[in-house]
Amino acid sequence: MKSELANKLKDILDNMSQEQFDQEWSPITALKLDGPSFADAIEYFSVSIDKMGKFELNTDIQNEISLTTNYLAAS
Amino acid sequence: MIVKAYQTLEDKDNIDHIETEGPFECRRAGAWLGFGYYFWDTNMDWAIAWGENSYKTCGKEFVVAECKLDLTNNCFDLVGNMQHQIDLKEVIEVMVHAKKIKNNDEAIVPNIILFMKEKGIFPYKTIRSADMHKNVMRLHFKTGKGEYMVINQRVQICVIEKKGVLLRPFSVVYPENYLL
Repeated sequence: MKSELANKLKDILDNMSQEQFDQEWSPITALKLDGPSFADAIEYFSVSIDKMGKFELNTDIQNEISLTTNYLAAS
Repeated sequence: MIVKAYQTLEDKDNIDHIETEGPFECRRAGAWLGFGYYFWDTNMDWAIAWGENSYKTCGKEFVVAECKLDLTNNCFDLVGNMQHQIDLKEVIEVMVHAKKIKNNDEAIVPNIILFMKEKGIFPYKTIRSADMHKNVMRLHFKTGKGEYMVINQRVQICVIEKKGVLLRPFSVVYPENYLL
């Protein structure tokens, strides 16, 4: 399920020929704007396991609270 | 949300002009959120630092002008709204999958924002984005651990449409000798 903005963009692109897109994209690129690349943006906006910190479970606390909760305490 | 906002401008000894005609639109290629009126969000120190590092190093003087911005409606908030970050990622993915961009160098964020504006599907009047520097302060939760909180963020606001957003007055507030 994509966001409303993404769905609107998809609708537009799906109903655009390559020629029509080129015509409308050309004046934009002519401005020669600088900015982050799509590849970088996707990478940095994405979540992956290797971006997570590693936590060690605090077993002392865990033994005390495990009877009453499912919460896993990390030290 | 209403925030104080600061714009750094060259001091051309024309304060009256700045306060009546400002703020001023950025139409440089480096306008990385697209063309618009760029402000520093809330912390005037970033506006001053920008002036010191850009104008002063070129031998020019600068002023900082302040106004308020109403971000309550129609702000694409890439700092405080996680859904908007996901929205940006998704529109980029849609564009990538469409495979219509022929030159990879043109696959950049300001171009897709401008394309959506041109197509009338980008409904926002402002874009709020963190513009972090490599020396940004990281407050570690615990010594020796990787997790940290980013503090004192340098946040930019790009105002695409002033109406309903810009709250006057727009007044020069730095340097102090301009304060009467």
